[in-house]
Order: sequence, then C-alpha cells, then structure tokens
Amino acid sequence: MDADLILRWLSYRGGGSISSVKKSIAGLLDGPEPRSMTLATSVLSRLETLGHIDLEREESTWRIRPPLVTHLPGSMAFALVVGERTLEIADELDSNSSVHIVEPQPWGAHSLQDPVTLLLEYDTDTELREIAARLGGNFRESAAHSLAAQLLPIHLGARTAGPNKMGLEIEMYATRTNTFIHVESTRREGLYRQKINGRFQHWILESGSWYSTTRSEGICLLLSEDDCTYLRLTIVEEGEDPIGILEVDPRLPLPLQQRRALTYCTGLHAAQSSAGRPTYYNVPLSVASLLANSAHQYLQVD
Amino acid sequence: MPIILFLDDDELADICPEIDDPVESLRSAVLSELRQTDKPTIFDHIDRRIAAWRAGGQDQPPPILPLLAATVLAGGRMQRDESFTAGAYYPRLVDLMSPGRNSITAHGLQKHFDQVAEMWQLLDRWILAHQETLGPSTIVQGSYSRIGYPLSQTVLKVSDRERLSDFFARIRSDEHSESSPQELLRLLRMWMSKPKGFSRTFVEVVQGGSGNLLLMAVISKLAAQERSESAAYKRRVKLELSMSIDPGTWSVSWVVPVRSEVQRDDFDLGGGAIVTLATPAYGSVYDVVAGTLPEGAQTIDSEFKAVGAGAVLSKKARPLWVLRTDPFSGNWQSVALVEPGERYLLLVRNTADQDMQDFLAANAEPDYWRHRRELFPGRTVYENVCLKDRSYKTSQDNLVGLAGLGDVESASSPTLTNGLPLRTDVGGRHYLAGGEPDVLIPDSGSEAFALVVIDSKRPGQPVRKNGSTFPLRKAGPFVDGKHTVEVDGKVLEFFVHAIGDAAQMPGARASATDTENFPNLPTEEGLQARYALCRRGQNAAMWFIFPEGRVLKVCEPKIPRFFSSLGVPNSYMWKVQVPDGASWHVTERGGKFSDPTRLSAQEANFGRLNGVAQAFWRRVASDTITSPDQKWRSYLSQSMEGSIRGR
Repeated sequence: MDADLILRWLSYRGGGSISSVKKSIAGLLDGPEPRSMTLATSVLSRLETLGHIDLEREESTWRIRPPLVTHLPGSMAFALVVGERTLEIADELDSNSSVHIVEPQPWGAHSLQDPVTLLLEYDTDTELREIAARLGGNFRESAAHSLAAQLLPIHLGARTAGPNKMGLEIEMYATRTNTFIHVESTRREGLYRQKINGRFQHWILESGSWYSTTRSEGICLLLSEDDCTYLRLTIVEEGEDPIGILEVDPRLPLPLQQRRALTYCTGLHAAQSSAGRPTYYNVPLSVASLLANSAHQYLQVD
Repeated sequence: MPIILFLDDDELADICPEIDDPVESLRSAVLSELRQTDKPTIFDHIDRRIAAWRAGGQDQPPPILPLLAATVLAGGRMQRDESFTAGAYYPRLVDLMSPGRNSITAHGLQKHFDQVAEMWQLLDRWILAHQETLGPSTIVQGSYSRIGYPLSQTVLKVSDRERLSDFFARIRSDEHSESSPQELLRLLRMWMSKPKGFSRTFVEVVQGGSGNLLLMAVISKLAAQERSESAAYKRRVKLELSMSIDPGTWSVSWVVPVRSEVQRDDFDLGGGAIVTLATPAYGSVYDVVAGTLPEGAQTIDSEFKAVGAGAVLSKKARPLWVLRTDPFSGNWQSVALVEPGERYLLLVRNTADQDMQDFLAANAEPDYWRHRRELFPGRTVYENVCLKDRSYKTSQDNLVGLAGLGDVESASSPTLTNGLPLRTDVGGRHYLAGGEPDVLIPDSGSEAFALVVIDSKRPGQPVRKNGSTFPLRKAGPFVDGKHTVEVDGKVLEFFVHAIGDAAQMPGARASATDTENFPNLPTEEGLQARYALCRRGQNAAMWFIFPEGRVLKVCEPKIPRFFSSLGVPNSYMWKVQVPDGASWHVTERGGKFSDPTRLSAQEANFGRLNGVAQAFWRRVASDTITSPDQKWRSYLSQSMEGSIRGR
C-alpha cells in the first residue's frame, strides 16, 4: 500500500465520510475484508496522529489539515512539514526548498508504512514563513511545544445515562490484565464500555454517577491512581531544555493530542523499543513534563 | 436566454417548410438589397435603411438580419472542416451568394466584409440595449478579425445552448470565480464523454482538435452570463429537523443538529410564535431556549418551515425515516447517512412495507424485527436493522433515503469498485493515478472465465467469473485521461488524473472540506520561540550577549545518534533557542566572529564582567569593530571603557 498516494488522495478529497475513505483504503490492501477494514482504520488513525488529517468519529467525518511548517525541537535545524500534500505542494517543496525525505519504518504485522516525513533545511525563519505561505499553510515556531502547552489535564467527561443495561454486553476494564472483561453488574467504580451502533462507547462510574470518556482518557484516569511509572525520559542532549528519548509503558494509551505533540518532535510515529514500548525521540524535557502532567503521570527522568 | 442567430441548411429547411428552395429564397432577398458591384458602395441600400432605422425608435432590430443570416449560413457550411480559417470561410460565402456565374456581388461582399463586421457590432449593441427583454448577446469576435462574428453564431444551436445550462448548473459555475476558457472546455469534454443530447455538430466541435478558440470564447461568455444572472441573494444556512424517539415511551419529538455557522437564532413559526435555538454547552443538538418545536407522532408526515435571521429551519415529509441511537441522549435520532454494519430503526410508510420486507430479506442481517403493533399512524417500524456491506439488489426505486448505501447496481454485470475516486463536477468516474479501480466480475456459478480488455488492447486478461475483483491499478501505469475496460461485451469507462482536482471547477476543492462538525481542537499556535542558527563545523559556537555585557556561549552540540538510526540526515545548520533577555547574537567558526545580529533594541548598560566576558569582548572587537551598526559599536565602546577602568 502506497501511503504517500493515500495522503495525496486525501489531500485532494479534502474531507468527507470516514466510512467511504476507509472502504477505498481497504480496497488497496490485500486480504479479507474484515482485516483490511481494520487496517484501514489504523492507517487513518496514524495519519491523524502525524498531523495530516483530523477525524471526528462521532459524526464519522474527516478533513485534511492545511500544511504546517514547524521547527523540530533540539539543535537540529530542520523544519517539519505535515498536513495537506497534493502533487502541487510536493512539487513546490521539491523545486523551491531544500527538502529531505525520511522513509519511516514499516509498522504492524503486514509491514505497512506511513507517508514519508518531509524535513526542510533552512537558513532563517523568514525562509520558513515564505515556504509556508507558498504552500498555502501556516508556520509555527515549535508545534510540539505549543501543543504540549495547551494540553489540559485529562478529566471526566459530561455526566450521562451510562451503558444501556438492556443492550449489548457491558465490559469493565481490569487494570490487572489491561483488558476489558464482561461483567454482569455495574456496581463497581471504574471504566466500562459497550458497543453502540457498531462502535464502543466508554464511561467511568464514579461516586454513583456515570461520566462519558474515551478509551485512552479513561485508562489514563484509572492509571493515575497507580504507583507505577509509565513515562520515562532518557536525556541525550543537555541544554536549557534537555532533549531525550521518551519511553511510554504500553499499558498507558496516550490520547491523540499527547501523541501528536510527540510526533511533532521528529515527524515520525512512535518506534517500538526492544521491550515493546512505544518510544518517541527528540522529546524536550518541557514537552514530556507537560504531557506527563496532563496524563496525571509522574515523569521519570534519567 | 441568450440570443443566438444560428442558421444552417437544415435549420432553414425546418423554418420554411413551405418553400422549395429556402436557400435560394434567402440569397435572392439579400442580393436584392445589395448593389451589383464589388465597390464599397455595395451596401448603399442597406446603409440608407440603417440611417432611417437610426432616426427612428430602434424598437425593431436593425434592418440587416437577412444579410447577417446569410453570413451565418455560409459559416455553417464549413462546420465539418478541421479549421475555422478565412481561407475556408470566404469561398463558401462567395459560393452561397453567387447566383449562377455572376459572382461580382459575392466578391464585393468578401472584399468589404469589414462593413459586415460593423453590422454585427451594430446588432450586438442593439441586443445589449434590449437585453432585459431579449436576453444577452452571444456575438463574439474571438480571435478572428471579421469572420468571427458570423462564426460565433454557428458554434452551437439553441438546443445546445439549453444543454449547456445543465452543464453550468452541474459545475455550479455561479458559485465559482471566473475560470479560463481552457478549464471550462476541459470540464465540458469530460462531461460530454457520455451522451447529453448535444447536436452532432457541437459534439464534433467540442471534442475535436486542441481547442476551437471561437468555441472557447462563446462558452466563456455564456459562463459569465450564468454567473451574473444567478441570484446574488444572501443564503441562509439550512437547518433540518431531526426526528428523536424515546425508546422507552416511543414518543416523537424534533431536534436540530448543530451547525457551526449558527450560534443562536430566533425562528418565526408563523402566527406570532417564535422558537429560539442556541448552541448547547455540550451535545450535538441545539438547546431550545424559548418557544417549542413541534412534537408528537402526528408531525411525522407534516412539512415544517420557520425562517430566522441567518438560518432556515425545515422538515420535509419522507417516505422513509432512518434512525440510530444518539450516544448523548440515548434516544433514536434520524440520520442522513446510512452505513453498512451499524444498527438502525426504520420507519416506513405502510404502503411501502412489502417492498421493505423484500429489501431487508435480501440485504439485511437476519436479526432485525418488525413491530406488529402500529406505533405511529401510517407507519411500520423495523428495529435493529443492519445492512450488509456488499453490492445488493433493490426491489424498487421508492426506497428513498437508502440511496446513500453504496453501489446499488445489478449484481449480475461487471462493475467498477474500490480505487481512489476523486471529486468531480462533471460526473463520470474519476480516479487518482495509481488508485485506479477494481473490476468486480460477477459470480457465474461456473468455472467460466471472462476476458478483461483494457483500452481495447486485445486479447485481454482472463479472469475467473467467481465474484472476484481484478485490480486495474496493477495493469498500469495509466496515462491521464479517459480509459475503458471491457468485460464480456460490457464497456466501463473511467478517467485517471495525476492532479486530483482535474475534474473540478478551479477553487472547488477548497469548498469541499466540511469543517462544521469539528470541535475546536488545540492548535499549534501560541508559543513564540526564537531560534538562532549557525553552520556546523570549525568548532562552531554561538554567543549571546546581554545588555549588562554578560555573555553566554553555546558550543555546537553533537548530533544525537538516534537521528541517523531513524534515517534522518545530518543538518548542515544547528540551532539553539534564544535565551530570554539576550540583545545580540554572534556566531564563531574557526576562531572568526560573524557580524552581530541584533535581537532587541536594549541599550548597553555594562556592569562587572567576568573573565569569559572580558576575553570575548577583546576578541570580538577586533573582528567587528567596523560594524556599521551604531548600537553594536556602543556595546563595543562600553566593553573598551570597562577594560580601561578595569571592570
């Protein structure tokens, strides 16, 4: 599957229904339909994390994001370009700027790939602003820092009626096994889920009230009461804002904005460490700290 | 409707069926108004008529129509030629206007065609003056000096003009700014790839060659007229009422899904009743802050409309309502889009109940149920309906609302499916290069093979007829343009484009992005960090200078090893964030300092300097003493004063 072709196609489509693009992407993947649809969902989710598209799952719609040019953190003088990537934009970058193409590592059991990462070399910020203007997009000094600074502490959602006890089976999250298990009653406080309209809805039961949440936020809230370290930053470059490698415990599913702030540090998705931990590179200490605070986690710094 | 003075031999015969030789009749009538000469006085009679007409009220057209009609007739006779050239036109004009061997008048007509061109201009001005009653003029010169005028009337017939209105409506030309004639022609050719009822002549003109300049000029003028004629009224946002059913009580109410363009509005329900809607704190439907929306099962089949300042609230009666569970309220709520694999509640008119039963039996998972009790007057309710995700047959066309489910085609003939389809303003199937579609070969229930022939290149590829798909993209690469694939005698057409908006009006892509359902996500704005850059190598370092004379040195850092493991190349520059309060920045490479870069306008106010600062100022002064920046020189002079006084 050509991920760059997918991104180019989405750039021209502009936006629309998630189900129709998922179907088209699944059609390009070999294999039986249920598996290809699941992979197509993953493809879209990874594009969202990388900052190329936005997904509105409740309304089942998506849209392409305008081009964004932003500094990578740290001392490397590269700027990252994410978002819309039509043929015209690619040609513009190729012709009028010094662009490096970084091939991402394959992911998943089927060795799929993300679109290539585009890094620009530049001499001044003015040059980057001009490039962004020519692409019809925006320039931001440091998208990773900006996004991290806006992260609100994860909190309970709106109060709601909770799962439908007459509906499909209700499952509760078991922190010991990190899985959802079927439950007959919903008396215990915790994170629950139920399939409605083909999609899992999540709730937290707390003090007798139900609150809406998402899977990742709900688990983050549960794990905030744990005594474990789920985030570890290893410093590799000293400075006013040291740079490091952030390992995330796979039991802690980071929400989208947290993941996106981290991918803006390299333009790449999390790698898998030898221990199977999602690992982000080139992460400033300030970004990691803000992220940890938002997820109610302690950041271990080595 | 624009005025077209189209005339060819067929048209003339249709207009005057009672005349044996209408061409001869027209020729005679025109020649009788011309002097038999090839001198400029050939038009004397007509000039006198024009003068009399000018002196009058000019309510009628100028007395030149028969002559101009004859020039159009001559142009119509060259439609079959490959090129519109004077060399092709004038011989036909002379031939038309020469009775027998006497061609002196015809040659005079050719010789003084500039006066005929002026007559065309006269007619154009007269039509313009009477545009409100007649319609706009289609007379254009194009890039031709004189013959363009009559030729502009031969490009399309009235029926073609009417068909073109369909094309302009399709591409929503009134919503887009002016497009180039080439872009319009490109889209028109795509649109005309399937029969649209145009005359053969027009089809030949449009599809032939690299572009008829006159045709493009006429189309461009018609497109401009479409844009100016479209109502430029301010459009209100359309809000549709959505049905909401309480699953416990089966009571019906109406809600209005939120649209970002409308925050709050007062809607006039008529009779003095007002309902006020406002964006909620959370949720996907508006809060009713004043008044009430209709409710009750009796409202299902009634129409509703209420007008606000910026929006219009409406509801139409529908033969079929499709609802799914709203996660916020837990109620069933009507939806516009039906997706295979999800569960729905259907309310169908009793008259269509049998059709619905047939449809669901063929296309839905079997675990739905039909309520026997009539929950709503005149309606049958199906609950827990889940449609299968594959091509299926419909029984009748009155299943409105299910049209969005995907391929509603016969499962017994080959179809195009999957691929990366592009948006189009002109219809047809358009795909991004590299994302060509698959051909679905129906299951024949036997071991037979079908031949898949692409772009008529035989013998083709044999594919088993077992319901499988043949991926056309693997037979590529495909060049831009129209392609065909033939399977068992059925020909399917599709277009391939490297540029993904080739089948759209220019600028249309920007409006295709629907952002109304996206919440305010955190953006990348906010932090304004500043960086200073320096080339690597030669013991590079950056020095930051503060108003008090203090300095901060940052040496070139090593490139972190993980970058190369990630495949990221080494950058030839390195950067460091400018510290707060720094007023200057200087780079050093190979022991030499660059010109200073000012970071702020702060004046020098040196205090006590440490050894590092003193050493820095001594070294940097020798490299930058000639700097033209007065402020930097003030810093240097303070550093020198400090060194003299032993600070």
